[in-house]
Amino acid sequence: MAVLVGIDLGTTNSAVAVFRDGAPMLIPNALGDLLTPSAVSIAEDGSLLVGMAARERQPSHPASTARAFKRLIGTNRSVKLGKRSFSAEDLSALVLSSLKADAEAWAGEPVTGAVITVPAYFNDKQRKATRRAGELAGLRVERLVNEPTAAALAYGIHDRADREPFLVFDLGGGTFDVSIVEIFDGIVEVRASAGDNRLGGEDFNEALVALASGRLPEIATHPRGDPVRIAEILRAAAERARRVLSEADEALFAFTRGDERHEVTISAADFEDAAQPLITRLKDPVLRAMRDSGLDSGKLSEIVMVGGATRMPIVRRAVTRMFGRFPATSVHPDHAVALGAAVLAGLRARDVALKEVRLTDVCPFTLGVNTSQRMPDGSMRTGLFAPIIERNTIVPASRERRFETVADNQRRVTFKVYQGEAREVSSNVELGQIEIPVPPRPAGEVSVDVRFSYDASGLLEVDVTLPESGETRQLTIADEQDAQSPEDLAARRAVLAALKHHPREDAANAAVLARAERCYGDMLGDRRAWVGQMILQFQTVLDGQEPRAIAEARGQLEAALDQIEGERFL
Amino acid sequence: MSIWATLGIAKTDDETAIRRAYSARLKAIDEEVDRDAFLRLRAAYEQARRQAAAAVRPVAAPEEPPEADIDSRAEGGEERPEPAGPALVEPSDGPPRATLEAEAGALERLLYGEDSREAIFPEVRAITERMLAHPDLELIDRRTAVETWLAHTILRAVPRSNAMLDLAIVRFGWAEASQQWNCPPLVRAVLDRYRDAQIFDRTVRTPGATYYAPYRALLAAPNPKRLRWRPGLVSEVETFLTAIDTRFPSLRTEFKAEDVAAWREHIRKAHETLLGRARLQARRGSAAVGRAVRKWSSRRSAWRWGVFVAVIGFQVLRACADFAHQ
Repeated sequence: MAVLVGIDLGTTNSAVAVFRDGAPMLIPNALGDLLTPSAVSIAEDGSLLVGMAARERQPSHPASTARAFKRLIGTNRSVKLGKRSFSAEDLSALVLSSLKADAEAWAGEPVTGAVITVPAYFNDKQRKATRRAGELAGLRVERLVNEPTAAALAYGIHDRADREPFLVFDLGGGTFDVSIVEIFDGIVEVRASAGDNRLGGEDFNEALVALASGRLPEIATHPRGDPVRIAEILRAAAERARRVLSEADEALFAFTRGDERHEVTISAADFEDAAQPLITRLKDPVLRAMRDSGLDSGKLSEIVMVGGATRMPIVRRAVTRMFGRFPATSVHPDHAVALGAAVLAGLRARDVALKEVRLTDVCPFTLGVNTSQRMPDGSMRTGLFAPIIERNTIVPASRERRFETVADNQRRVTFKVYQGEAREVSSNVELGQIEIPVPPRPAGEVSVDVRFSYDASGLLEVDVTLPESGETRQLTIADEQDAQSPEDLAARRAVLAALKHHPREDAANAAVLARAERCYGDMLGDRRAWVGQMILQFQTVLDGQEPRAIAEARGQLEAALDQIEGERFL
Repeated sequence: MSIWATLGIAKTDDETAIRRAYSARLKAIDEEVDRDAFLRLRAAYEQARRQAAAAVRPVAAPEEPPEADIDSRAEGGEERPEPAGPALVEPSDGPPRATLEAEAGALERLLYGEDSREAIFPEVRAITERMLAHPDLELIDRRTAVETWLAHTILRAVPRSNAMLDLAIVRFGWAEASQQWNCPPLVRAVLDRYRDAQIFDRTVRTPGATYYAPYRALLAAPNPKRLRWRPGLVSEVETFLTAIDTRFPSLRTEFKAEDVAAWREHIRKAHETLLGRARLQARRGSAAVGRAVRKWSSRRSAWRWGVFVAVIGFQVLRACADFAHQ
């Protein structure tokens, strides 16, 4: 039997889930965790570490570790890990293949396909890159689904009741989405989506680092050592402090650089002030989604919070102030997206439990072409955006618009296809270009029909027709990389496969060891010596290759680390 | 195939029945395989809902005009989102704030009152600032209501609302909104008004500015005795009025309607003199020739240069005629 999984490929953490026995469930990874950090690292011996072990290596080995690469997906930037360089797509593929391995180990059969989630506000390039990452990981990508839509599906499916429109507020590690969703008679219908794909928990970390650096002048005035490494140490400290601030009124921003310990206390109020610009940015997408759906906030039945960053009290307070009521707490902010993706995978696999369920999503951005316009004073304005499929249209959608020639004796009409909301195309994302020859005649006497067809997976087809002759040109939006041959894809897959993967059963050992090494860097004096001792002991046991003894020693080391630095977190 | 056949029900205005029919049909088709079936069904569903909504509306209470909407909501108070529970009310320090409704009322009294524009300016600005900083604006429904109300008020109270313009534009990010293709016409109108007001201050109201003389002249009815000494002024006022009519319509409110009417009448009479009529005819003729030439040259591109020279020559002749008149 083919297994279809749902994967939440996050900026900070990823998760994989499957639809079984009428309900979605998360699959634990080799460490027994339900979440896998989206981090990749290459160890000194050239072997590849993915997940917790890689994340723990980040402060100590920043040059050979990568994280938060989802923010680079769809761009041409590459990430250097040691001597090798990877694209964000490659790194995402490595995380996906690790999740795939976890799912296969759990299910005991090969995973053939996956539904992968993307932020609703991801543009066409970012979506294509995510799809390619799935293919590189050896997964057939059945569908890409918007994260807030997946979360809504997970939230809406558990009791199958009709629901008035509710709002999904999805603030993840790197992206922010808002969707307004309604459920009626088993039809889950997204009414509007909006977002900001450059806003997430990472930005709050940066605000916290800026705040702490201001109070620790020695960081700014005596920059010593590797700046990349210091930035990573600070970021890790910020992440810890931010988690403490979610529960307490103040937190210690503490880190060790070389042999010096630096500490500063940050109060929740100070953090709130520092994060105010980010809080303000949360409002725009909410307003836009509300406006597009044509609803008053009083008509919303619930505010559903998804994404790890919504645990922050300042975010919850901002939401409470926006809507005049408290958000719902019934959904698990870290799990909902993966669970929803699994529901969709179940739908794709035609699971009987989901026979009465359907999902309709929207296209969250406007698609159109560039046009020119003759102004009243006779001048010509070019580069104006003419929308064809307006944002928040239910997909699949097909829309047509007619355009006329603007110049006398025009020989051809060239349409550039854009995605975005700006009035001038220069601020929108260009997706492609299509041209059609026209008979030479005075301006405005020749017209051309442009039809856009957009499907649920985000594939756009453009048809240009000359009505008088019936001549047609067609364009399927595909960027340069998309035209890549299957051989190229196979070659890149081979390169990734050639990396020495850490054996799955060693994942837990690698993660603990990486954590202990990070701890060694964080601690000073006697404690540091103690951690060093424990690492040596553990390595000795590892060399003995006795599974039982290793498991026992690992448990002891973990307990000791928990004792000196508090429980590890995902 | 009618939309009702597509939905598989008889024609109805019952929204729930329409949705039920849609969901039943949607479950029967596989949109991945038959996309056209989905597109047809969706189009039928949306049209049916529109029809149902249109049929239901006349029975309901007549809709209020958009301007009255916000005011009635502000006074009625029922539609305001109520803060849920005491925990949401943040401890307020300092003196209690006036409600948004009270501020809005005070603002309307000033704007539609009798005091001069200069006299109310500082207070209008102060109240607007207080309103825009009001904590209630955190609630998105209130914010949207206030945003719409302010835009309407600004446009209705031109030019007395100048004091509010820049404050509201910054607070609600209207300048950014105007960069989007679907910017609401209301916002565009406010921004146009802001541009006009700035141009007015810079190139009209400042002594020595381009349009200062016709501006001063338009503040009163034309005085034939004085105009005898300033023969060029009539033509300057005419140009100024044309600019207002075509490009800065909101500036019409800066002048008294009867003065403007008197000036228009004066200008019309000036054109009825022999020379005036000749110039008007010449202008019309040149426009007609220009149109004809453009059409013609679009067919025979080889002639364009010759035509260009002819048109320039004609313009020169016209300029000479104007000069002779002066």
